[in-house]
This record gives sequence, structure tokens and C-alpha cells, in this order.
Amino acid sequence: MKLITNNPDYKNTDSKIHGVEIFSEYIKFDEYPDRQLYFYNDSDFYYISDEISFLQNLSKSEVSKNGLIQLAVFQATLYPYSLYEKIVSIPLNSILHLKNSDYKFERLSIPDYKEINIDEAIKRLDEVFEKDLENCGDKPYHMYSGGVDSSIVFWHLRNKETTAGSSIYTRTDNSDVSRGIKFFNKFKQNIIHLEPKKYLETLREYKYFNPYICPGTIDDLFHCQAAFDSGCTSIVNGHGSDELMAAYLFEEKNDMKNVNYYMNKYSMLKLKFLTEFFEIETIWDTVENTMAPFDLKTLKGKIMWIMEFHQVPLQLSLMENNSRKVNNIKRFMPFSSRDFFKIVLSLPEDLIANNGIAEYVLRYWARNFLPVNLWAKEKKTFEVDQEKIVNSEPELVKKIFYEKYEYWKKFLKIQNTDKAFQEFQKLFPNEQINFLLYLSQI
Amino acid sequence: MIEKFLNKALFTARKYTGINSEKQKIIGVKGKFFNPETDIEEEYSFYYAHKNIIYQIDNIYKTQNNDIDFVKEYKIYNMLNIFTEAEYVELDIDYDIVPDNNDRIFSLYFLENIDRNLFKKIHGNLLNPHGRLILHLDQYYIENFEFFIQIEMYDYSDYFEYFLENNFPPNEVFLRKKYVFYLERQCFDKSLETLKKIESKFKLTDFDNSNFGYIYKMTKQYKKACEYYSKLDFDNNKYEQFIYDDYKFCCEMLNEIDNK
Repeated sequence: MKLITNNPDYKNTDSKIHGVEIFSEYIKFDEYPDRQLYFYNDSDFYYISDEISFLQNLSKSEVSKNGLIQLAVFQATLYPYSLYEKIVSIPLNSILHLKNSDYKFERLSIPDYKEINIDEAIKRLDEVFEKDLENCGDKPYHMYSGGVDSSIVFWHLRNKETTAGSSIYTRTDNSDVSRGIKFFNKFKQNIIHLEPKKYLETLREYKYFNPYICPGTIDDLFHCQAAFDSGCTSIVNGHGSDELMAAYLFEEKNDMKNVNYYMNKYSMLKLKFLTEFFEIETIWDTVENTMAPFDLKTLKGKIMWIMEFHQVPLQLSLMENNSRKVNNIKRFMPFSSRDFFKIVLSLPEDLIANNGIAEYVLRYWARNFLPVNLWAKEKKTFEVDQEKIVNSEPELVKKIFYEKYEYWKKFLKIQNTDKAFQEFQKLFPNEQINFLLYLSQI
Repeated sequence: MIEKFLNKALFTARKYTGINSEKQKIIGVKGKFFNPETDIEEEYSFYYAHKNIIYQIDNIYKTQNNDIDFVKEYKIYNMLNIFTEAEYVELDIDYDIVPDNNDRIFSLYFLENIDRNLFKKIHGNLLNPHGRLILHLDQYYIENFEFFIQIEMYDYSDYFEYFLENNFPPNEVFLRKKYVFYLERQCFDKSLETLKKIESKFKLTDFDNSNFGYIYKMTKQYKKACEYYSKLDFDNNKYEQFIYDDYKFCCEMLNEIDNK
């Protein structure tokens, strides 16, 4: 655990955190601290830690309704809230001013790096990949989807004894992966097919370090286990570039800060469902307060917003999987590195996305070493066939719901578990799985 | 016809395909021009043509740092990846093109009375089908079907409907929207045909059963109407009064027929 505090009782704790600088009257957090951090301030001391459970024990804080709403909408808890009332999620790229027992966060403007051209960008991308992958060992386990990002990573592992781990969960996964398989022809393959019961049992037992909802974490755990079982030296993947280059938001032209619009288009759980569990005014205030500081009109503004709510998976991946089950294999994710983020912030916006092409610079770079069916492949989000899971194991779904809701109901408007289950059944299958993941967060 | 809204690249492509393009084609029109339909100075614009349908699906414009040839390679690969049966042809733009004014295609040039914002919305929706997540591509066709219904360009809505039905698994939400649309326009045959498709593939809801009943009532098939109305749970007073009235009417008519 990392801890920065002025309480002398904890003077021997590890307080060195990459991206955090401590001064006498303030603490500065840069745009890429290496982990999600939380803040708690009692009348005597302040505490900054990456372990929210530690701060919760210290503060005896109640669960926060705003935090629960954020989790349901954004899949994560963000400044100015957290999962607990007296604890604050620390915003990226900010300064925490401390004066006596008072505190104040000040957000900084987007860092102004010297602009680079496409040739310089490619040179730096080569360097980042070389540096990031030099310690991944001779037998990396590469999570391979067949998309451009993971194909770029795969090409950089071509001279190693790589195992390619792929999930074949939807009707298009197979064709996506097989294109890459044809090109990178010498490696071991580990295919994971969807097993609804195993998926649900894993979800049921999953324990989280930090609150963040992503259906991909279950799949991620399967690959971690496979990598461990097959004696691989590391796990490597292409995660992060979609987020750091706003691949799913760069074409959004509407006002995302309009709560109605955001809730309709982007919220993990829809407004109609959420109003059964929370007061509408609280939902509205929470979403508005969370998004207010962001300028979502520019591409880099959107990137900073994505960074803020995706910081958990990006940064956890740098230290370990978001589970206490698998934590002994090193991870390497060049697209989630601080160096890659610096390249992105140094690019003119038309090299990040151009003419409707997401990740322009990466594709331009990859054209030098990948065939067109890999470098030009359109983006596709990772999807699990949730319908298959829900339809084939309805009793298990119900059992998990009842187990988890029993604990949650004291925080929510619906106290009756049967009634809550009726509402739950009105959800689409993907929303049902997300809600079960949601109920697993405390 | 409003000259300033003339998309010269579109009519260049149309001149090439003619009014009936038997094969699916993607036509890349090369040549810098200001496209009044996208409000962009385009280097290339791309059109999809099949049968009498033609519409813009993509474009390329210059930015400070982009490489046009690279963008073009990317776009052609992805367009052909979506329209797998189409062949790609490339033409130079005809700056002196004169449209055939009897050829009513989806163009601002012909739609002088259309709300510009609505046109933009539809045109924007037609662009870049390959940019949609492939898992959700049916939404592209559903949305375009609905848009063309809205502006009463039925050649186009029929085309999207046909394409949707022949290339994607049945979509329950779309089928429901479709039969309601026909029902609102009193097209009972088409509405019934769609409802039957829902019945064969999915589970009927109370809403579907009451509409089955209503269509059979309106087409004077009272026995069938009663059959569907009887599937509704009338004990809990949960339906609108007119549904009870319609059911009662059909039962009475059925009795009358039987008494005769």
C-alpha cells in the first residue's frame, strides 16, 4: 500500500508514487500518476492512498450515494466523490492545496507538450515499444483480438516464443482473430470460448481492489490464469490506445455534458432503471458535478475526460490485475504507458484522428509492417455474449442477484429484493451482467 | 432545382451507373470540389449504387497533416469490407455535369423544400457505414429506413428494408416499429405480414395481440380477431377502453354471422 500523510504514526509507510510531488503546502498530481488515488482528511491529518479500503476503515465512512450513481453511470468513481462519503477520488492533473485542516483541489490545464510531426511520432513509437517490451521475457502471453492495436503489439513480439490468447465470444471474433493468425503464423494459440456457468461463478467470487466495472475483467482473469498455468513469463496486450486516442468518442459532435444526452447514450445503466434505485435529483447533480470541469469540445479535452474515468483499468494494469487472485505475472501494456500518453499529447489533433479514421498515427505507422486487413481494420469494442450467459443460466443469475442485493439494499431505494429482482429482469442481458458486476463492487 | 445545392460528384457517379445499376457498386469520384451536401471541400467522394438507389457513403478531405493516398487506401478497404458484393470504380469529377431533372434521387438539389437540418441528419447517417461497430450494423439500415419513411422517399426505405431483411437476422425491435408504422398508415396487409413474422420468430406481447385483433377487426376477419383478443388478460382492467370495445364489437359481429 502507498500512503502519503502528515500523521507521524505512519511515517514509515511507502509514500513514493510516480507522478505525485509533495511540497510543504500542496501536493501535485500529474496527468499520469501510476495508480488510482484517494484522499481523506480528518480534523488532524490528511491521508492519500491507493487503498480505498484502508481509508474507509480509518474514516468509518458510509457508502456514498453519489459514488454509487457514478459507478452506475460512468463505471467508475471520480472526483469529487468516491464510493465512500468522506473520501474523495483524486483528480488527474491537479494540485491539492493544504492549509491547516482545510483542503482544496485545483485542476490544471492540459499539459502543453512540444508538437511533433508524423516522422518524429513514429520514431518515438518505435522507442516506446522497444523500451516497454524489453523486460517481458522470452515467453510472453499476448492477449490477441485481431484488431490493429493488438496486432501492432504482436508484431513487436514476433521474435519471441509468444502464446496468443484470444476470446471467441461473438460471431465476428473468429474471423477477426483468424486474419491475424494467418499473418503471424508461428506461435502457440490459446482460445477461450464462452462458458456461461464459469463466467458467472467467476463474477460471483470476484474481489475488487478498486471500484470499476468492466465486463472485460472477467475475461482478463481467464487469460491471466491461462498464462500462469502455461508458464508464461508475462502478460502483454494492446489495451489503452482506444482510450488515450479517444477512438470511440472522437466523432461525437453533440454536447456530452447535457445530462439527458449523456445518460441516454453513454450511461452504463439507463436513467429509467436508475430512478428506481436513486432520487432523480441526486442522479442529475452527480453527473453534472462530475463532468463540469471538462472541456469536451476538443479532441484532447475528450482524451482528458476518458483518462479521468478510465484511470483505474489503465493504471491497475501497470501494477497488477484488478483481482487478488492473479497477481504474480508481470504485465506489459505499451499503449497504457506514460511515454505513449506523452506522444499522444504531443501530436496535432489531426494525427490522432483524421477523416473518420481512429488512431490515424498508429495505422500510418503499422502500414510499414502489417497487411492492410490488420492495419486498416475498423474498431470493434470487446463484447461478451451476455444473452447466452443470462439465457443459459437463469437460476444462477437469480441466485447471484439475491446474494449480492441483500447487502446492497440498505443503500438503495428498493428495500425489497423481490421487487428489485423484478426491475432487474426488465434489463437487457448485457445490462443484467453489468448490474451483477455493479453489485460486486463493495 | 437549386443550382447552388448541386453535388457534382453525386451526379457524375449517377451518370456513370445510370438509373438501374444491377450490380452493387462503390464509385469513387476524384476531384476537389465544395460539396454542398456535406459542407466540406472534398478531394474524393464515394457513392454506393445499386438498382435505382444511390447515396454518398464517404469522402476524403485534406487536413494539415494527412496523407490523402493513405486515407484512401484505408477507406476503400473498409467500404469493400462492408459491401462485400460491390465492385469499386473510380471516376474524375465532371465539373460541367447537368443532372437529369426527372431522376429523383436523394439530393439536396431536388429536395428544395426539405428542412436543411433533417437533410443533414439523414445524409450524415448514410455516411461511413463501415465506421459503425459491425455488431450493430443493422442499426444503420434501420435508422435509414426510418429516415426515408419520414421524408416519404419510399424507393429508398424499401431498399433499406430489403437489404436489412436479406442480410441480418430478424430484429424484434425493428419488426415492431415497422408494423406500427404500416398500421398507422392503415396498410393492414403489410402490417399483418410483419406481425406474422414476429409471431413465428419471437414471443407476442399484449401489444402485438391487441394489434393482431385490431387488424383482423378492420379486415372483417372477426373470428381471428376474437382469437387474438382472447389472449389478453381482461380481468385486471389494464387496457384502454377501446380495446374492450373492439373485442366486444368483434364478438357481436361473430355472433351475428353465426346467427345468419
